[in-house]
Amino acid sequence: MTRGSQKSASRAKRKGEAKKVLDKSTVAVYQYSMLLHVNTASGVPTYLQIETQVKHYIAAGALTPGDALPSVRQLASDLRISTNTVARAYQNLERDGILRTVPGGRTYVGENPGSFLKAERVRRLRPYARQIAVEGTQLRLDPREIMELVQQELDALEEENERYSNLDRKAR
Amino acid sequence: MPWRKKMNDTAIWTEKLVKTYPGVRAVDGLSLNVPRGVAYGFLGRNGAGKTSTIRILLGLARATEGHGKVLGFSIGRDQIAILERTAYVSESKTLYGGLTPRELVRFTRGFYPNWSDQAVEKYSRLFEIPMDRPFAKLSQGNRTKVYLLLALSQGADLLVLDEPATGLDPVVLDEFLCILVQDVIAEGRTVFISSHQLSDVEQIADWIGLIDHGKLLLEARLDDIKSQFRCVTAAGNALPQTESPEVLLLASEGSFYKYLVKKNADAFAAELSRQGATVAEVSPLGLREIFLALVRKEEPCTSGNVGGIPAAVSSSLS
Amino acid sequence: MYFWKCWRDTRSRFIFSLIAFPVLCVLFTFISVRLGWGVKPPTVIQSWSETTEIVLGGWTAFFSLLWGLVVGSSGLGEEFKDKTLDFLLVRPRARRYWVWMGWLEGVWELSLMILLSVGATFGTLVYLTGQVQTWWPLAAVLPLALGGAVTYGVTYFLTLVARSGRQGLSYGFGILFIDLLLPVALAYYWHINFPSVWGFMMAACKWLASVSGTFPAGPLAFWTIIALAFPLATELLLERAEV
Repeated sequence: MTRGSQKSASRAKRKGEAKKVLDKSTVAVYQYSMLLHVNTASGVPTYLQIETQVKHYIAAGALTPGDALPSVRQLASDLRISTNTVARAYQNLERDGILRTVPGGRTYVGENPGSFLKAERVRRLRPYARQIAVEGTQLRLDPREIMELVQQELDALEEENERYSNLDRKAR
Repeated sequence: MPWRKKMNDTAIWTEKLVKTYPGVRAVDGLSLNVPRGVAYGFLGRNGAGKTSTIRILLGLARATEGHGKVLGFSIGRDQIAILERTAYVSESKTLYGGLTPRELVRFTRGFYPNWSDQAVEKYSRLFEIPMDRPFAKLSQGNRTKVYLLLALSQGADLLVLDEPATGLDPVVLDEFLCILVQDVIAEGRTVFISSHQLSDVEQIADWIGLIDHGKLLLEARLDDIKSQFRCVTAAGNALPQTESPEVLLLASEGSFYKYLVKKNADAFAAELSRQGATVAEVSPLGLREIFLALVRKEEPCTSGNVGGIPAAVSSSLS
Repeated sequence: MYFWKCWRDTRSRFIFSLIAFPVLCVLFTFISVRLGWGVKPPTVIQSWSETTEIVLGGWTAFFSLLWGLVVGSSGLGEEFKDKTLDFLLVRPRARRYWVWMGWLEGVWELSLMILLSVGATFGTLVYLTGQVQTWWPLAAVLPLALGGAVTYGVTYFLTLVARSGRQGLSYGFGILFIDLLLPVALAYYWHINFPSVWGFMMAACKWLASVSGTFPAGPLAFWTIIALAFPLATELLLERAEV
């Protein structure tokens, strides 16, 4: 329950309007504050956890280009973590072109695929591909099994995408 | 972005601070560097020198050697200027038993030009503090809350908290963390927390300073620590048993060895592989494990200290 | 603000003292006059000033000294024992501030009590003898307050040294005891004039009761310096103290 949604709801009541005043961006912020979570006791740095999750939700379709993310202050406060950590995550994502901050201060999901050339995007993925190849080989899996695994993950993402777009449709 | 810290601004800086009591070097060449606008977790065992350091920073005790600055003001010489801008929650949360929280507020507010009465209102309501009961009659939790109330309403640039969670139940603690984030860190102020409660510190800290026997063992961003420190578990015959500054032997059982590697863990693991050992796992570590590892170096650990032996290894050997 | 805090802290004791002190003084005035202590029968004039001198410079003065001890024992040293000194010294004030503000508050309390007691004593005296020869004895507040301030200052200092009110009180009492007896012994046996705070108070009250004779200016200066020297010593001690 963000302050934004509470304020607009009570404002509506005061005005005596029956129509819902919650607009899409407020809903988005509400949803995504609930989606993002961190485990500070884990060995994975907190800012990295946030980055990974944002990327995941974008890939899964839960966050679409143009969606507003909670402000640094709001997210930090909700997660009970330092604003510096959230800021770092947002900064990194912005540097990678995944998020975009407007002069007013709000952060939005960027129009990501179009901003980079395909060659650049392939270059960025290569280290991860290498890591899969190395790890898979170390674990004595053969190339076919490794590729199958990757395909399974891609399928799972596709499924999530479906789920989130259904949710979105129902919320409107 | 408003979150970028001014690079040259440190909240607390000390240079080779020493404090000796008869027979004991409580603080031994401590050089702290706490940036502004962060949450800094000051960790260490009992008697490691945390409280002595804090007392020097606040002017309650005088350093034997060395000097330092808090918020740009020299410790000792400009102590009053430091105290005007610093709020302190001491470990022993004692106050005047005969006064009620309301009277304590009245007493304290006169000293601070930046005092906020709205903050008093807000926090006393949030924490549900019985404002008209004499301090002596308050429970431990309520006493801590009063201390926090006074510290938060001061409008200080730096909050020095020594065990701020004493007696707080999880709900109040959660509220407090939320307040710390929203009203302190988000406003660019600095929080310096000295605590045993590693999980609370880990939750909110940006930086960690680990002190043991008066010396600073480690000072770095928590995120960097977590991204670089690794626990490397390996099995083999001729594994290194000696330590270098970057590698600590945590445990050994038979032919299994567990190392804490502070940097370049992958390179270390690769080196071990090259020497014929089987590297079972390179895993990240939580703050508690890092703390225990760094501070218990002298005692050979028994298994179960820093996690057990991962199942993958045992199965590959059977 | 510290003044207010000290005031608030010792409120109950102050109210008790405010009643007890004058009552005690009135009581002893009664006893002195009725039992005729120090009052020689022949002339009324002689007896009035002598009675005044004895009652004010004697009993009321003695109680002032005692009360100085009591008030001094709740000085800064008590903060050590209660572990509240941490809290105090972290406020943005020089350590000097705490010492003198605390001291001032004690002097204020003491002065009020002595004022009331002198008034009550003098009033009782007037009531019992049925006459007023001179109003000057009311000014006995000043030398009595000074005497009280002396024992107060000494105890205030000793409370900080011992870091405990109770111990400060015992040491203060010990010193008072010495200052009461030693001058008498030295004067009697070796004819040495040792400064006695009670002696000064008596002499001042004598002068005020009859407005004749020499005013004890020397002792006045001496005891004023002493009264201020001990809080100063307290300041110096606190500034060097490690908490």
